Amino acid sequence: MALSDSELIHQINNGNEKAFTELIERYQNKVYNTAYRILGNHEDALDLAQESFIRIYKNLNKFQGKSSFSTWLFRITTNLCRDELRKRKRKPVIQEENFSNIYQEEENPEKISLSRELNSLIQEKIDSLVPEQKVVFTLREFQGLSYQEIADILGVSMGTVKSRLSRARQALREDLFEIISKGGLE
Amino acid sequence: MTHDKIKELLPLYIDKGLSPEEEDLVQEHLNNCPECQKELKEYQENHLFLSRLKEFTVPEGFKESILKKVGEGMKEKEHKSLWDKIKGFFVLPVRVPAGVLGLAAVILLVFITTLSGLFSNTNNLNNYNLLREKSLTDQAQYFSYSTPEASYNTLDSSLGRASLLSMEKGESLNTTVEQKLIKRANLVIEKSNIDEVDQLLLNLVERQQGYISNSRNWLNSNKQKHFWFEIRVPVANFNLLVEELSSKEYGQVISRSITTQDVTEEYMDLETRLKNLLAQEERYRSLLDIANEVEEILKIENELNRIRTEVEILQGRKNYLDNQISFSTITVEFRQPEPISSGSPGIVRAIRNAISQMIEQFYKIIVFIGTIIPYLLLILILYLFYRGRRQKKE
Repeated sequence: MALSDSELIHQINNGNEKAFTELIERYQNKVYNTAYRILGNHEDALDLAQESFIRIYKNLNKFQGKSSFSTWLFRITTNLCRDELRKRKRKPVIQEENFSNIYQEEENPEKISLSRELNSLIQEKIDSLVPEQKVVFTLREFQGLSYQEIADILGVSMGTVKSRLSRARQALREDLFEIISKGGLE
Repeated sequence: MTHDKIKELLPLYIDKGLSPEEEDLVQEHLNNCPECQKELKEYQENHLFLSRLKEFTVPEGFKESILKKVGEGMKEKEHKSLWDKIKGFFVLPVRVPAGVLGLAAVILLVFITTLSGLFSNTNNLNNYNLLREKSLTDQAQYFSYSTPEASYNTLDSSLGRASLLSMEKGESLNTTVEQKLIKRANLVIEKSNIDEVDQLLLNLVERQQGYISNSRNWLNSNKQKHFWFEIRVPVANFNLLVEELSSKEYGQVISRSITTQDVTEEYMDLETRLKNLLAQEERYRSLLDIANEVEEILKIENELNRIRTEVEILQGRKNYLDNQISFSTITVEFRQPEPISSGSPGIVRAIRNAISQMIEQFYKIIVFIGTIIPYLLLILILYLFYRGRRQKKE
């Protein structure tokens, strides 16, 4: 089952529901984590990830393959995140971190699992960024996308991406390093 | 390159985000700047740490929930009832704040009231026009009824026979006195091939034993030809001539008016006064025959002179009336139909009209805004109230 994205999309458009399931499985964690880092809480991130996939499904026939599928997907996700942040600005919600057991911790030796406390400390710092910086920072640091990809997703120039990322890194450098070194000691 | 500027570049140095020249500068600076070295290390560690963080995984049932929602959406699309479809026409897909809806409703209301006000005004105008038209047609009817009747009278009386009609009509008058009527007609006729009018009219007038007493032709500012004639025609042929002129042959009648002036009283007056004067004259003449003294003769001749002048004045007036009565006057003006206006002056006029209309509308808008100011204030208050309540709720 090593179909490319475009082949999957073709199958979905021909009415193959299973292909859509495959597509969701391929991208669900990327979308979910991106949303989480930008929005700062799991509940909203989950809702938004679902909404992203529903949008994808509805607009799949409009996807023309001008950009790669992942670019398109991230564009939809980040746009939804931006709308959500804008909504919150008008109507601030009290964020409740609710870590229930449904969030499974997968064992993976190469990746670092964070304690709940440490994670929320880091996320707090990310939340303090302005929305534009938050989006670029998330896509670069957590999703590992290249500058060019990020520029494509957001529809801005490379220079803009660089300046936003630079600001975000500068703003977070001290605090983040402190948290990491402490966490490392534990 | 200063230390501060290098510091600005450091965040992007860690993942090849700089141009080669910038990279060289940073490298050079790093060699002898421990502070920057430390910062760079922090950036690198942060970057490495974050990129190695384990992703959160979505909870179980994530994709199933999406598929379910997508499926529902599909079903909704397929099984939309007729009612839903109708509702869909009226329900906006975008949520509109209640304040905006209220504002729109109020503006609509005000607009309708102003509009209906305008409408009733135009109604009045229409009524007025109708009334005017009606009175005009009434007049026209009056003329068309009155003229044949009057012409019978004159015809009959001029022939010396008192008809039943004239008996009935003239009972209050002296039945033996003829009615003296002066008849005039005025016509404006539009005719495209206007040049043949001259000959046509001449023939017609000749046939009816009349004559053209006056004529004029000219070009107006639009280069349209105008022919104007004053026709005198025996009163017996008056109606025939007018009817013939109104026929299709002579073109489209634009306006037609017929007036009948009753001068019987004046005529009788004249006759009596003349008779008296003549009798007086006769008496003076007989007196002159028997007068002997020079003084007496002179006095009588003076009187005779006065009487003669008066008689002549009255006789002249009587002759004039006789002429007017026995010959009716018809004035008729022929003109070419208005040419279809050429493009450019039309455009210029259209633009001029547009500008004047625009200015007029602008004034109307000012008036309109003035009218709705109280409503706007009301809306503002309602909106503030609504917002206040919403904020309190939150």
